[in-house]
Amino acid sequence: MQSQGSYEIDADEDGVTINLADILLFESGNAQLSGEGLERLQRLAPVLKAGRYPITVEGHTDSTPIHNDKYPSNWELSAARASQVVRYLVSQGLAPDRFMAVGYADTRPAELGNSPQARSANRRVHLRLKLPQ
Amino acid sequence: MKYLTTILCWLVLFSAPARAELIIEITEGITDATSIAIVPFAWSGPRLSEDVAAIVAADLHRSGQFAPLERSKMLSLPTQESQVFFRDWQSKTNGAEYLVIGRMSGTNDGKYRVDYQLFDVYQQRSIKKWFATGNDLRALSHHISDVLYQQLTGIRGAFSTKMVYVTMEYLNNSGKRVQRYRLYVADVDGHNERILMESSEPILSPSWAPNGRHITYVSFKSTRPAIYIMDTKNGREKKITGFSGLNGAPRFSPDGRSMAMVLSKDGNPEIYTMDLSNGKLKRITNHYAIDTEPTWSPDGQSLIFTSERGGSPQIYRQHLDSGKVERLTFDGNYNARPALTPDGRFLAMVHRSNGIFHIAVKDLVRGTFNILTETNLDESPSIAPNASMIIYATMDKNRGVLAAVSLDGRVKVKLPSRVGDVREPAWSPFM
Repeated sequence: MQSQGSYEIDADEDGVTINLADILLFESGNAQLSGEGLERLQRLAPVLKAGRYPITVEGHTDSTPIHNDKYPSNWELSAARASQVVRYLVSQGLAPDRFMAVGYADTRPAELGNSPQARSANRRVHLRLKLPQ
Repeated sequence: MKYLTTILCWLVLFSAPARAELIIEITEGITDATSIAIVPFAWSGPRLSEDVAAIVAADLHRSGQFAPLERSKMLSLPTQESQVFFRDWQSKTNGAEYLVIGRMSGTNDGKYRVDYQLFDVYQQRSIKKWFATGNDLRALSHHISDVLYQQLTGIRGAFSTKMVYVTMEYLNNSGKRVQRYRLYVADVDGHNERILMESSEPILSPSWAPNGRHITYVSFKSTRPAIYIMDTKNGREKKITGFSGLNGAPRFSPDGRSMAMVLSKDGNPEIYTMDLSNGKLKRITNHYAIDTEPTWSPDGQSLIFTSERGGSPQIYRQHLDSGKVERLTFDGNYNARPALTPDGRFLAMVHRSNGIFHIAVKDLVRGTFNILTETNLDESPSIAPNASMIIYATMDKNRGVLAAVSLDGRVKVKLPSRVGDVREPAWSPFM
């Protein structure tokens, strides 16, 4: 696997991580995928479909505190974001048993600080692929 | 004279390529398949590029309903009625229930003409004679298969149809691994494969227009997803959508005037129809769950689609006039990718059971549900226009390949494996 247009792809001994952070995946306080987010996932689906390796989807939020009926905290929101990505990929015919959805809340920021850019960069999802060695 | 003809036939037989017989592997056929002997057709001209009788035998064999007699077991090789001795075909080991003989000739306008005749061996009588003319020997052969199949089964043959499919492979571009997607059209026996389009970006969800000439698909070649229509005769493409967000799963309506599709331009992925004469969109679904993979009922009055509105992907039908929605599948927690037979009675789908994806079919009249395949990761079922077979993509040794299964699950066929992953086959309508 190599660079896919605007995905950031990192590889280390644990596998390959696809970072969907550079685009506006979600609105603040929301787990609904943006149009651009859906486009990227639609494009990524056939690539991921070519293998059977497990995929861990990690959801992250920005540091803005959240407390409402739907999402009592950023933990629920980050998990909902990860699930939303999994559900979309499953709807595209990827096997559900390849996935794990994980929520990290705002505990693993990609960018420090509270600027609008930092918050946008932190509302993200990582796909961690356990590729066969 | 009989022996001279026989020798001529053997010459034809041994000089003509017999690839057609090697292409498709029947992994499971019905045990009581009808035996039929298709004797090599007489031809006195220069060597031909194709062996017509062999192609007909391969077509009938691939349907799973016929067991063609091997040529080495034929005791005589008649090419006209006067040479037919029924006792030659009545033996238990070397016999057949039906016999087909034929003669080929050239016409004045440079075409081939085939005169062929079908016999009932047990009743010792000729059933019917036909002739056909054409330039293309493979097309002519498939036509003969269609005629024989219809005569013997009462069902219209679908051997002269085509399929489109997508392949994906990794190429090495000066040390970098790059993906290459290709959209192909081919005869349903895998021959005459032709590239319609290639791209380094994904090509998805091809399907046919009811005219058997145009196709529609999703391509990312302009980096964003867009729905296109292509004329397969000349490769001309027209982009019909390129909305922000998802543009997916396009399907022509049965009258060819509208297109169902999935768009996320209003937020969530929803199903829309587009009037192709003016591009006007109509939103069909409105639900926070993902609604996808629309397909039309044969009367064009409703859309069948996959939705996870009930908590897991299941198949629903929505009536276009009333907007009324009904759930069609209840077996298991994953049923997706619906395809309906042309009579609207049988619903083929991808069904997941114990973590394995199979092709299944539901009889919408009786309500019975059958899992047809034992392979894994089966996807993208597409039904032949005569409803005899379902073609689908599956995994074989970690590669995507095409396979077909009869609607009753009794016949299973594997299509030739090739380089790269093969995906998303779509069977054409009658041409």
